[in-house]
Amino acid sequence: MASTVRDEVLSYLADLKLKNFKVSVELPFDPNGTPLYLKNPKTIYVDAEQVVTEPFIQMFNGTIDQEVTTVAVFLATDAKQLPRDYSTVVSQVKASKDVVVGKYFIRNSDVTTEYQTDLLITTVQIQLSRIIPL
Amino acid sequence: MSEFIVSPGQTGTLTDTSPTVVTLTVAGKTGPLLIESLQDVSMPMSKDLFTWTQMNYSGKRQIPTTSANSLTTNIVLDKEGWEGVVADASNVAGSASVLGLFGLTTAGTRVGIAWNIGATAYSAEGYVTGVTPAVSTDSPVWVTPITFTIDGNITMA
Repeated sequence: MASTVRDEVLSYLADLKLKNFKVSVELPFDPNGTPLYLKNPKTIYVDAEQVVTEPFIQMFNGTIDQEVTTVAVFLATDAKQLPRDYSTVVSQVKASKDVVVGKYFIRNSDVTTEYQTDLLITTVQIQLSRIIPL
Repeated sequence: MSEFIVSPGQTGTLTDTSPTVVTLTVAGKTGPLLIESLQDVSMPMSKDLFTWTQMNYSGKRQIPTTSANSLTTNIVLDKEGWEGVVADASNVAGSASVLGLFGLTTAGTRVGIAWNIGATAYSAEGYVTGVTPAVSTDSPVWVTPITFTIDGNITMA
């Protein structure tokens, strides 16, 4: 079975062998919908990938489609005192957009943060676009 | 009002018979080149005008003379259509399908051009000009405008 974008991101993150952060292969939500990254700070979770197919070029005899795959990576840390390697780890997570194999012509990664209680939740949104078929 | 002629791919009660291809042929050579993946088609038939002034008219006098005809389209390039196919019994050397758009353009080969508007077939003879293949990072598919410059009249079947 071909590996998914999520598999490749997880594999890349695991290979980094981060010192102060763990990488979980679990999806980031428990059956009640509670974010696991709130329970387990300093553990990186990769959400299920979202795939959207939309028309890219319209022709009289058909359509060339664009497939946009989005994967969200979550990471919670102490909001008061960030881990010393926080920036490095976030940069490495962002760089995962470039390790996914495939003819993706747009590779984006956006970082957003929010506070929940005493935690800083960092979300890295990785978005890859490719043409189907190519 | 008579029936509308709709674009290819449209369905419903309107006429839906426009083919999605422009066909090129080289006289005496078996092997047509079907130009597919059309994004739009237009058929400029601009007439030249002979203009003169006349003392008893406040407006200029004008009559149409000859027209410069062409067929223009934008297409998505495909490998066979651009480079041509390998010659065989159905596609002989020097045919449009073997020369491909690149060969027809560079050689300036005279071709027969056939297309439809709705169910009605049109044909003419001319040359492939105005080919400008382009690609960009945010649109990684080669596309090109094409002008089929028509030598003489367009014939409606």
